[in-house]
Amino acid sequence: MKKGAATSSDFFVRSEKVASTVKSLSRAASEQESFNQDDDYTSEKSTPQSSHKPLKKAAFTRTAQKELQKRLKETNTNASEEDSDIEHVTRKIPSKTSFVERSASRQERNRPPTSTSGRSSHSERSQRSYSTENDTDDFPEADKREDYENNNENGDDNESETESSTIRQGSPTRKKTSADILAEESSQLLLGQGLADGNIWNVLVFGPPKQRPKEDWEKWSQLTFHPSTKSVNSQDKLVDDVEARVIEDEGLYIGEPLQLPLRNLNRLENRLLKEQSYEWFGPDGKLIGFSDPYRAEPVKLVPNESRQMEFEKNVIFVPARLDPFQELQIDPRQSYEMVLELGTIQFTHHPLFSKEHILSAKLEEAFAEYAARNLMRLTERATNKLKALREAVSHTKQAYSNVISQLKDAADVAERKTLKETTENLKDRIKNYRKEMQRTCLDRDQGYWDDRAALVSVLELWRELKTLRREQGYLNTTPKLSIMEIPVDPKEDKVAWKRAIEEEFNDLKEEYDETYETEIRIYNEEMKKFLADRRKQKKSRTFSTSLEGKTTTQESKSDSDEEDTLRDESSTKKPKPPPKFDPETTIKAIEKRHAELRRQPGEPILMLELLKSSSITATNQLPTGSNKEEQRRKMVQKLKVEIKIWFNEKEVYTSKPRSIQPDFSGFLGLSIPISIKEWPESLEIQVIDPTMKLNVERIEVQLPDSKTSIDRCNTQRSQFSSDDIVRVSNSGVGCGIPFEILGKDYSAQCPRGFITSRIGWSTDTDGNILCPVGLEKLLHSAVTNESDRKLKQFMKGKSDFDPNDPKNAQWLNMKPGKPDEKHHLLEAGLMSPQKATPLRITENEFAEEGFNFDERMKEFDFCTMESIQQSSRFRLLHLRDEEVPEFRGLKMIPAFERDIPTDIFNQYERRLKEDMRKRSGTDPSLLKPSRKKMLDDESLYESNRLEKIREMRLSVLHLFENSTKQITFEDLVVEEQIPDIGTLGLNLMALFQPRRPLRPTRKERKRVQGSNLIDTKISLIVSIVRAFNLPMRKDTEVGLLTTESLTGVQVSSKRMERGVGNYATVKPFVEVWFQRSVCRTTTALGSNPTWNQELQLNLAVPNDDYSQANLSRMDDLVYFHVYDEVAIDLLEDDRRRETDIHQRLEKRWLGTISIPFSTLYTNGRIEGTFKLNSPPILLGYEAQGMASHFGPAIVGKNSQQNPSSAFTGKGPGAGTPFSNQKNAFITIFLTMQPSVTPSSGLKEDSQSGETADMVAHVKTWKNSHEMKFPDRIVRPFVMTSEGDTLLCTRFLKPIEPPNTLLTTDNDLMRAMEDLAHYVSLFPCVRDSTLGIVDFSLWFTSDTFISAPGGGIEDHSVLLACYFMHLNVPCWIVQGNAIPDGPTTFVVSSFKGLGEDKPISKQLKNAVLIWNACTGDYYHSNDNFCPLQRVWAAIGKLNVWAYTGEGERPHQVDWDVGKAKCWLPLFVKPVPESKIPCIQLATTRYKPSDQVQANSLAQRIERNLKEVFMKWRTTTKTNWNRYCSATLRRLLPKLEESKLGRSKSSDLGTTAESTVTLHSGSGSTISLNEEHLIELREIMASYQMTGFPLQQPYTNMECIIETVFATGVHTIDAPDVEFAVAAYAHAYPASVYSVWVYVAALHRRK
Amino acid sequence: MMESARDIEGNNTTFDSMMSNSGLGGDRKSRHTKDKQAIISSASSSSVPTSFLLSVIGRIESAQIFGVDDVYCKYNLAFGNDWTITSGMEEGISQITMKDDDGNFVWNFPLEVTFKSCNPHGWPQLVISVYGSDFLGNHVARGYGSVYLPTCHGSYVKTIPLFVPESSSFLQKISAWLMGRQPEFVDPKLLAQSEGRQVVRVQSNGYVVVKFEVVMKDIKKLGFLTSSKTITENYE
Repeated sequence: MKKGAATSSDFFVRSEKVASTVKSLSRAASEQESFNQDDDYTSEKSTPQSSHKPLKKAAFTRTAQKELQKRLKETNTNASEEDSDIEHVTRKIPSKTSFVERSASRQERNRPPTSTSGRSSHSERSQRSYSTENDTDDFPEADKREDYENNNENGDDNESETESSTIRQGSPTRKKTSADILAEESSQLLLGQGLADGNIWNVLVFGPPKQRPKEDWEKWSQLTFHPSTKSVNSQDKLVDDVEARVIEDEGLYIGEPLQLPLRNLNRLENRLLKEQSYEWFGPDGKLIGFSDPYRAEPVKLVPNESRQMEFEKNVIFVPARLDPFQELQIDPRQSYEMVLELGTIQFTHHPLFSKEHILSAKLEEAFAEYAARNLMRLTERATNKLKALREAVSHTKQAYSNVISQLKDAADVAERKTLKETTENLKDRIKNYRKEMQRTCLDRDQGYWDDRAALVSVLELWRELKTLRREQGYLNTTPKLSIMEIPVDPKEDKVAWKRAIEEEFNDLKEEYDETYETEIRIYNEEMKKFLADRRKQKKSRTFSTSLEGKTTTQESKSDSDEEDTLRDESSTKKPKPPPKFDPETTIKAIEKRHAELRRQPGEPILMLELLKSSSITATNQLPTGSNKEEQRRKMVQKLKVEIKIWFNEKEVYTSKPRSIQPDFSGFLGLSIPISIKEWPESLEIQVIDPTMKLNVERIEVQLPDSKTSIDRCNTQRSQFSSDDIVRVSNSGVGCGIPFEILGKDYSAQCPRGFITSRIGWSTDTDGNILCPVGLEKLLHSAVTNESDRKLKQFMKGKSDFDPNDPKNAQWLNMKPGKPDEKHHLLEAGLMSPQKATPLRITENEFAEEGFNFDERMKEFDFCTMESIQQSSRFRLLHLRDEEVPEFRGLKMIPAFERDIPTDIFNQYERRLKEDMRKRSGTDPSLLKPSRKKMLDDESLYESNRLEKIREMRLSVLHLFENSTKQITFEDLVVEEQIPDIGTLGLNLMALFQPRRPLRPTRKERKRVQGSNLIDTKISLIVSIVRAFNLPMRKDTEVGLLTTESLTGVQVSSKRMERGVGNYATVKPFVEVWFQRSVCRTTTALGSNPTWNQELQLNLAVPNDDYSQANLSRMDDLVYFHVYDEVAIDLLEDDRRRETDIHQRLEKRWLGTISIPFSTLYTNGRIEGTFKLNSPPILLGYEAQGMASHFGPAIVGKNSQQNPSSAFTGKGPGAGTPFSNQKNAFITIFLTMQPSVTPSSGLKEDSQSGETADMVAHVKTWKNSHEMKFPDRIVRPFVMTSEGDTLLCTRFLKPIEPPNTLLTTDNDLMRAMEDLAHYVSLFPCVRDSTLGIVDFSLWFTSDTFISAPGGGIEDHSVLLACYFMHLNVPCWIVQGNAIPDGPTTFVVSSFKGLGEDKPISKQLKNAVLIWNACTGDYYHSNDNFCPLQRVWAAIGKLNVWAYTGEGERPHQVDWDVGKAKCWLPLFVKPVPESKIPCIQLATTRYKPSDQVQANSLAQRIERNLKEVFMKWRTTTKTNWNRYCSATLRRLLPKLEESKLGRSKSSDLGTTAESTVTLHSGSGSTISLNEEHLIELREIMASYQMTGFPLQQPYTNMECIIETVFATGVHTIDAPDVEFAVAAYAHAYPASVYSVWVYVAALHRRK
Repeated sequence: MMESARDIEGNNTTFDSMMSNSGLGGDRKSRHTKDKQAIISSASSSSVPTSFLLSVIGRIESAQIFGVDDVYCKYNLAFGNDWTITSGMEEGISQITMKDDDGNFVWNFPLEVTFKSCNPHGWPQLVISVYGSDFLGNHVARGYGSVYLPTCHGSYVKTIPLFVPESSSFLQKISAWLMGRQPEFVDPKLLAQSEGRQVVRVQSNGYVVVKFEVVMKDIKKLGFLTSSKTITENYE
C-alpha cells in the first residue's frame, strides 16, 4: 500500500480511504464475530427456536461480503486498473471477511478465539478487557441478552447497535472510547458508501470495558473448582460405608503402586471425588491403576542367558504364514465351497424349562445310560469270560498232571528237561489265567453294581417325575417309562445262584491250593533267614557295647544305638505264615457279595422302556392356579432360535428365526453353502435365542478333510452351552440359579443343548470335490491356532484369574505345544485349584516338554545357515552385512545365484586360508625349522605385515563396537556454537589491532563434517613456500677424486677448494604426489629457493563414499619430492649454439617428505617447516652447511669446535643429533578444500581396568587441568589389547633389549642411538586409519615385538623402556607435532645421572627428544624439532601435565619436579604395588636371521627390477650389472654406519681395505666420498646419479612406492643405464632394515 | 537348452565394476576400485528378469506448517546398496511458496524416479526437508520428514509429519534465536536410518502431503510378494 502511495500521490488518498474502509469493515467483522459468539451462548442456553439463527447470520455475512467485494471493486476499478497495490487490498478483503465467515461457522465453540487479527487499531488493554467481557459477560446478563436477541432477530442492525449501547449504559466506566469513535466513523462511512443497509450488514460496535460486580465473581467461583492438594480420607473414596479392604492381606497380589507426586495424586483424587466418580477407586480406597511399570534401576540390555529365557517365556509365538491360498498357488478364480447342513436343535436345558422338563431331561439322560449299558451287556460278557477262563484252567491243569506223570516215567535227561520246561510253562499259564480270572471277577461285580445303579436311578427319577406331575396336576413333557417285568422261575434261579457261588468258591480254593505251596516255601526261607539274623544281632550288640565302654564317647554310642535299633526294626519283622484257607468265611464273603450285587434269586428281571407317549396337558386344561405355567407356555410358544455361522471369526450367515417346539426341540433343516475365498481356519455355529437373549457360546465345527463331500458325511451332534444367568418370572427354572424340585435341591443349570449338523465340501456337476488342494498339510497348523484361541478365551473367561500373581506366571507363560494335552492340563489344573497335585504334574510335564525354544526360533530363521553358506547370493549378502573388507559396500547383488560370478569368493577364501595358515602354521614352523617351509611362510607373512598389525588393532576395536558407533548430537545436528567471552573479546581485540595487509594470516575456515560432502569434490590444497639448505650440484671430476684417494691428502682442505670451483647451483622444483596424481611447482634457482606456490590436487575417495569412516580409513601418503632440474645439452653442433637450444630436462631426486593423508584428515591442516628426507648419500650432489643463524648457536659451536667429541666424532655425516646443517628443509602448508573434520571417535569411558578410586582421582586431575588449558590434550588413560583402560604409567618398565644390540663399551649415547634405530625399524600403523582419533590404543611391548609393529605410541613405549634399561631418565611426552598432530615422543635427559656414566659434558644438561618412529632425535633447543607443543609427560609411576606458559620444547623446563611448570598426577609417590606394570618381566626376541634377510633382499631387488621395467613403458631399460653389484657391496656398510658406527673399525678385515683405511684414519671423510671412491671405476666411464634409500621393512609395496616416488625411472635418455641394489639387514624379532640403492648412469662421451 | 546355458554365461561375463576410472587412473586408483568392486548385472535378454523396477511418479503437493510465511522444500531419496536410480533425480529443491488463506503451502513439486533393484532390503525412502526464512530473513529448517515409498502399485496420498531438531540446551536455543541459525540435521538422509536418533530431541511441526503413483515391474517374478491382497489382481 505504501508503495502505491509513493508511486502515485493522487492515488494515495483514495487508497487510504479504501484502506480505512477495509479496516473498519474488518473491525465490524470482528465485532460481528463477538456478537455471533454471544449468539452462540444464548442460542445454546435459552430457547430452541433461536438455534437456527446463527446459520442465518452466517448467510447474512456471506451475502454481505459479496456485496462489499463488488462495491469495493467498483471503486477501485474506477480509480485505476493498473495499480496493483489496490488490487492487493481488494484481495485482502475476502480473506478478512472470510475470517468472519469462518468464525461464524465456528458456532459450537463457546470461547471466542483469542486471535484479534481483525482489530488492528486497538490497544492491547482494550482488547483484553474486551475479551474478558466476552468471556464472562454472559452469565449475569443472560436474560437481557435474550431480549436483545429478540430484537436482533428483526434484522435491524442499527437498532442492535443502540441496543447494545443501552445495555452498557449501566456500567460505571462508560466513556466514549476511541473504538466507539472509530465505529461511528465507519458506520458513517458505510452510510456514505451506501453500504449501511441494515438488511445486509451487521455493524457492531465495541463496548467499553466493564467492571465485574462482586456477585458475578461469586457465580464465577461457583462454576469453578480448585481441587485441593490435601490427601483424601480413604473412607470418603468408598461409595457405601464399606470397610476399606486391604487386598494384599487377603492374599491377592498387587504390584508396587506407581510413584506419583503426592500433590498431583491428591489433586486427581479430589477431582474425582468432586465428580463423584467412585468407579475410579478400588475396594481398598486407592485409585485403580497398573502397578509400577518402571524398574528401580536402569537396565542395560545384555543378552543374558537367564534373562533371555525369561523374555522368551513371555513371548507368545505366532508362526508367520502366508495366505495359504497364495502359498499353495491355487487358481483363485475357482470357487471352493463348503456346505454346512444343520438338522435339528435340542435344548437339554433352557431357562424356560419347567421343573418337569428338568426331571424328564434327567430321566432321559439316565435312561440313555441304562440303555447303553443294556446294549453293551458288559456284565454278561464278564460272566461268560469267567466261564471260559475256568475251563481253560481246568484244561491246563489236566495237561499239567499229564506232563507230571510223563516226567515221572521219563528217564532220558533231555526229555526230562523238556518236560520240566513244559511244566514250568504250564504253571505260568495257570497263574496268568488265575490273575485274569480275578480281574474279570472284579469286572463282573462292578458290572452288576453299575447295572443296578443305572436301573435304580432311572426308576427313581421316574418316580420323582410322576410325583411332580401329580403335584402340579398337568403334564409338560412326553416321557413315559414303561416297566416290564419278566418273570423267572425262582427254583432255577436259585440253582443258578448256588452254582455260581460254588464255582467261585472252587475257584478260590484251587487258587489257594496252588499258591499255598510256594508261599509256604517262601515263608520257611524267610523264617530261616530271620532266625539267623537274630542270632547275629545279638552277638554284635554285645560286641559293640564292649567296644563303646572303652571309647566312652557319648555320641558314637548313641549313633551306634540308633543303627542297631534300625537294623533291629528291619530284621525283626517276623515273617507271617501264609493264612490257612477257611472255607466257611470264604463262602460267606462270596454270598454276601452276591447278595449285594446280584439280582436275588426269584426277583423278576426288569426291562425298562422310555416312551414319549404321554400327552402334554393342553394349556386350556391346566389346573387353576398355575398361571405361571401358562405364562411359561406362552413364552415357549414365542421361543425362536437363530443360527449364526462364523467363518474364520467372521460372521457369514444368520438364519431366519426358527420356532421351537414345546419340548424345546426344533427342526432347522438348513443347508448353508459357504464359498471360500480365504483359508478355512475355523467354522463356528452360534445359537441365538432372540427372545431370551441368551448368550450362547459358539460351537466349533470340525472342518472336513479334503475328501469329505457333503453327501458322504455323517451328522454329528455338537453340544452348546452358555454361562448366562437368567431369572424367569414364570414357572421356568431359569438358568444359573439353584432351584429345588420336590424338596430336593438342584444346583444351577446353564442353558445347553445340542445341534445336529454335518459338514462337507460340496461337489460340482462332475462330482469333483470343491476343496482346495493341500488342505491336509495346513490343517495341523489350524488346529494349533485353534487351541491357542481357546486358551486365550479361557484366560479371558476366568475373571478371578489374577495375571499379576507370580504364582500364575506359569499359566501365562504356557505356550501351545501339543494343543490338546495342554488344554486338558490347563483345565485339570485350574478347575481344581484346591488340589495341589495337578499343578505339580503340569509343572513337571512342562519341564519335560521343555519348551524347546530353539525349535521355535527356527521359525524366525530366514533359512538355515547351511543354505546361506551354500547359496552364493545369501553368502554374499551375509558377508556384506558383516562388512568383510572384500565385500563392503558392494552394490546390486544379483537376485539370482546364477548371476553371481563363481570366482567372487576366491580372493576372500584365499585370504581366509592364509590367515588360517598363519595362525596355525607359525608355531610349528618355529619348532621344526624346515628351512624351505619357513621361508615360504615368512614371505607370506611379510607381505601382509601391515595388515596383520592393523587386524590386531581392529580386533581390539571390535570390543568397543558399541562405543565406536556412538553417535553424538553434534554428529546429527548442526548447531551454532555459543560464542564465549574469550572469542568475543578476541574479535573485539582484532578490531583495534593494526592492520597489516602485507602480512596476511590464515583464517580458520569452518569445518565441514564428512557426511555432508555427498556431491562436493574434495581437493587437497598444497602451498609450497620455500626450501632451504638444498644440496649443491657437484660435477664430480674423476681425476680429482682419484688423486685424492691415492694421495690420502686431507680431503677437508680440498673440499674448500672444490667448493669454489665444481659446485653449480641446483634448479629445484617440488612435485606433489598424491594417489598417483602429480602436480609440480615452477623451477626455482639455488639452494634456498622460494616458490610460494599453491597447488591443488583432487582427492579420489574409494567408492565415491565421502563418509567419515571411509575418509579416515584412507592411508594414502602425500609425497613432496624435491627434484633438481638438470638440463642436459643435446646440441650436437656447437656452431649452432647461438641460435638453437636442444636440451633434455632431467629431474634428479633430492629429497622427499611424505605426510599421511590420515594426519591431514585428523588435523585439518598441516603447516610448518619439515626436514627433507634426503638419502645419506646423493651421488653428484653435496650437502652444504647451513648458515649459522638457522641452527642453535650452542650446537653450531659444538660441532665445529669439538669435532671429535663423543657423539659427533665417530659418526660423521647424517644421523647425528646436531647435523641439521646437512639437512634440507622445506616449508609447506597443506589443507583440504572444503575443510573436513573427522568426528570425535569414541569416548574412553568404557570398562576400566583401574579401580574406581583411581579413575575418579585421575578424572578430577584431568578435569582440573583441562579447565586451565583446554587445548592441551592429556590422556592419562590408554586402552590395552584386552580392551581395558589403564593408566599409561603401567606400561613403563625397564625392558632388556636384544643382546646383539647392547654394545660392550660404555658409550651410552651410541647405545641409545642404536636402540632408537632398532625401534624405528618396527613397522608403524597410524591409529587414525583405523578410525581411532580420540583415544590411544597401547599394546604391551611383547605384543608389539611379536607382531612386530604397532602404533606410534607402541614405538615410544618400547624405546622408553629400553632407555630405562640403560638407566637413562626418560618420559613419554604427549604433545602436538608436525606433521603427525597429537602424538607421543620420548624425552630423555641425563641430568640425574651420576658422574660415572660416560657422557660428554655437552650432553650433561641436554634434553633429547626422540621420535621413536623414525629413530631421529633432536636437542630440545633445536628449532626444527617436529615436536611443537608439549602437553604432558608420562614417567614411571607418575604423569605430569605441563602447566607452563610456552609449549615449544625449548621453552619447556624439563625438570618435572618443578611444581611451577608441571602438575603431577600423584603428588605423593605411589607405591608400585598400587599401579603395577603390565609389561611382561622378560621379553623374548626371535633371533635375527640374516639368511632370510638376504632372500628378502633378493626378492626386493627382483621385484624392483620388474616394476621398474613396467614403469618405463616407452623405452627399453638397460641394467648395468656391474654397477649393481658394486652398489650391493656398498649397502651393508651404510647400515653399519647407521647402526654401530664403531663396528666399522672392527670390520676392517672383512670389508674392502680402502674404505676401512679411510674411515679408520680420517674421521672426517664423508660417506659420500667413500662411495665415490668405491665407484670411481664406474664414474670414469659413466656420469652417475643415484642414492641409497633406507626404510624399515613393512611390505613390498611400500618399498616399491618409495622407489617410484624418486622418479628415477622417468629418465628416458636413450643411452641411460640403471642399477638397482637392495640389502636387508636382519634384526632380532624379524625386523629388517631395508636399503635400496638406485642409480642412473649416463655414458660419458 | 544350449541357448539358455549361453545366456547364463553371458550374464557372468557382463559383470562390471560400478566405478568408472575417472581420469586419475593408475595402479593406486585401481586398488581402491578393486576393493569396492560392485556387482551389477546388465539387463539380460533372458525371459527371467534379474531385477525389478519401481517407478514412482508423484508430487510433493502441499504442506501445513504453523507460524511460517514462506517455505521451500528439498527432497532426497535414501536407499540401500542394492538399489540404483535408473532415471529421475535423486534430489530436488522446490520453489519458495507463500501460504494461502487456509495456511497451506502448495508446491506441486513433481517427483519422478525409477529405481532398479534386486533386493527389497534398503527400500527407498523419501526424505523431505522443509526450509523457510525466519523474521530476519535467514533460511532455517522448518521441518524434516521421511516416508517409505509405497511397496505396492497404486495411488497413494501420504501425509508426512514433520519435525525439527531442538537445540541442545536452553542457552543454545537463545543463541540460535539470536543468531538466526536454528539447529539443522547434518544430513537429511539421516532420517532414513534409525541409528543414532536417540541423541536428538525434536519438535513436531506440521505436515507435508505427498502423492505417489507407483508402478512396479517384475517384482513378483523375483519372488517377492508386496501385498497380501493380490490374489485376483495378480492373475488379471
